[in-house]
Amino acid sequence: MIRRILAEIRAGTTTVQELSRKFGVEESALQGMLKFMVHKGLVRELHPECRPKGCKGCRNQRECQDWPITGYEVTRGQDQA
Amino acid sequence: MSAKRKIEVALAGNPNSGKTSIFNALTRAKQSVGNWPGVTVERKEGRFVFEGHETKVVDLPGTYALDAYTLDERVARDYLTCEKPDAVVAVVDASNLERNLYLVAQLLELGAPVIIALNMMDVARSRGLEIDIDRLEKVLGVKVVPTVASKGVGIERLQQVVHDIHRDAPPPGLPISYGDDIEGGLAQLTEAVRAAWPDRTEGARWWALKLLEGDSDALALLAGDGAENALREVLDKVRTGLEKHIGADVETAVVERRYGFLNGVVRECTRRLPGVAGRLATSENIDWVVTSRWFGIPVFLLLMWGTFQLVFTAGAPLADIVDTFFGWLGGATGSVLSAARAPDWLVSLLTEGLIGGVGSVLVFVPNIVILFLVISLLEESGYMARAAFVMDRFMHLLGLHGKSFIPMIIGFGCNVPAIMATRTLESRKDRMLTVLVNPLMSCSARLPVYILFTGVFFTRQRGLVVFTLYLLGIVLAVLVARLFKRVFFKQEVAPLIMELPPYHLPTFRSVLTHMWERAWLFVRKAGTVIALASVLIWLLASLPWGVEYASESSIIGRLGGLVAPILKPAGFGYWWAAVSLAAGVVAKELVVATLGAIHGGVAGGLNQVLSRSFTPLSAYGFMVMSLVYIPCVASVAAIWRETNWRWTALAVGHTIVLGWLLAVLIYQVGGLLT
Repeated sequence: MIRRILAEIRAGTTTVQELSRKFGVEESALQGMLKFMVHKGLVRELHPECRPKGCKGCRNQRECQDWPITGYEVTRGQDQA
Repeated sequence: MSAKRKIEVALAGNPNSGKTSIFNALTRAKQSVGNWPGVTVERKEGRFVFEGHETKVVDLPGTYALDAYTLDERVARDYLTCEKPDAVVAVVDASNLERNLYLVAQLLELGAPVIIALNMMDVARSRGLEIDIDRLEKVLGVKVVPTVASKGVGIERLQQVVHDIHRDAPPPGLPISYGDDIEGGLAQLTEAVRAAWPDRTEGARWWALKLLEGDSDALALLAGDGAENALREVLDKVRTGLEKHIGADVETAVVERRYGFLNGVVRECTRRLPGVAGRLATSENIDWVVTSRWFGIPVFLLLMWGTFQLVFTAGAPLADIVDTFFGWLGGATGSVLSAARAPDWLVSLLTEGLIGGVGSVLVFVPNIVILFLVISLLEESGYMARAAFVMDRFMHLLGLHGKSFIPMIIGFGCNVPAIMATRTLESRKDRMLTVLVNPLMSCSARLPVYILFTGVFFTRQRGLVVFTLYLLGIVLAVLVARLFKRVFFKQEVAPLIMELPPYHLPTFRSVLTHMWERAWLFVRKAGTVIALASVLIWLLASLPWGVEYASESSIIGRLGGLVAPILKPAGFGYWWAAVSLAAGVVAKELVVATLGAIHGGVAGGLNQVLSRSFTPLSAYGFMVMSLVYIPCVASVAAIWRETNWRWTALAVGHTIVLGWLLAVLIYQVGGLLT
């Protein structure tokens, strides 16, 4: 299933919800699979912080956190699952 | 088992599964806290006495699995393999059963005697999930106790089941079958483990599985020689054979088959309750429309269009009131100062410079507040994340990087934080590209320009015209990015997997707070930067002394006159139009503030001057120029900080050229067509 999910996400941007529906997997279980893919270097987590210190103390914190986009990004050059 | 023996149970579970609540409910005040040996991970222990028997409870760190990826996982695993507790109470979040059972599966593989505390049963029910407890017990071969730890439900039953260990050890649970291919390799490896490590015979299958998965701790044990050499040979042979047969990495195959098994368990032991399933289906149906390939973008565009319609229909009467107020304020200030025999320059400074400049921007506060209100509503409801997803898919189709849309959407508010947000992009090339096109996203500072001009030239289609300007910004950003990508950055783009927040009804307080914070920033800017700039513009329009205020002979008039010929092909070759665009480089709101200071504010005849000097075509061209040409000083500084002078020069240069070209094209080509 992980390989089928990986093939699906490599085909284009999708959502955890869409994948959950398509593969009949609980969203939380899918999160677990994505964490596994992170460990394997197949995907990378999206980090909303752009500074090493994180968002604390940043004067643009408000604007950035208005758009809390979270998820994962497929890494380049990883063909072997 | 001896009736009086003191037994030890471990409490394992995923983070947020309610493990701590179970621990507290089981042990109440009888707890002690320390650290696990050699690490700074907190170790909590507690005790409880049930029917005269004492049980020690060790709270393991919250983990999702028993792999060697994190320190918590290592601590939990070392304890379970070395100290071998009498039982492991696996706390499972019933509302996230499939994921939580992953840890249970690994505990069973380890051979641990497991008791499942199926916690948060109330949450699971509220989400429409019914779990067949008896079936789950049979499928996994372990005891399952439903609990709601936060309310103390099921705790006594759990204590009873744990107490029963004094009499009978819990069953070891049912093993997972990984299919003939992996099971074959696993059997060979298990034998090799038994031969190499006689002290690990009991958990030989577990170690064999860990070796097969490439577990770093297990592999580290192969560092010795002698027996380890033989085991290493078997491992290499089995792994190579399996990878060839499966056509993939063995670890991935093991993990996906484990998840496959659990998926089957959940399907077999749960069912969706009809009423709640209907509610969930509604949310899914909404998503089916708003995030679909066909309807996603039209819905997004429709909402944008509706937003601008509302900004004008609801904002216009309020803006008229503010306009009337500033008109009255200017007149009253002039009368009071004249009556007090104040010098003419002071009257002019306050009425034409300050009130005219700042007032001409503040007139649009009602429209901007309504815009922020709608944006806050969309954000709070969970729609904006969907919009971002829809936009990303669209941009992806054009070959742009998936994550670039985040800074671009932030750019609708202000380009400065949007440019800084490009730091979230790992690739330098992606960052450069996104920084370069970000100023094309129409920030809220451009809105006063749009409102002013549409109010004079497009009174019936104000919302539609502003909508086209926002849309133009997006289209231009996409096209320019595509061009730059082709010229400067040739590379593949990576797709995203986004997590969409659940839909919910926005709260009044939260929406108002969001709206107020943004609107206040706008008003504060009007009271500081714009007020100061208005005074400066007044001064330049009044010098040299004795010249007619804001005439072509003033310093500002002469400076504007130098640039005006360049703007003539666009249909607005006036010195004051050139000056207003130049002032907009400091802050885009200054375009309107400058026009207001020069022509005496909206109430002071600015609208009449504009309607005499512009045509609808040149007015649209002017708005496009305001959207596209040179980013404001703060944005330029941000671009410089994030890139270097060459890219900054390109960002400034390409926007000036593009803005001018578009304005000229609109006026010239539009003139031929009309």
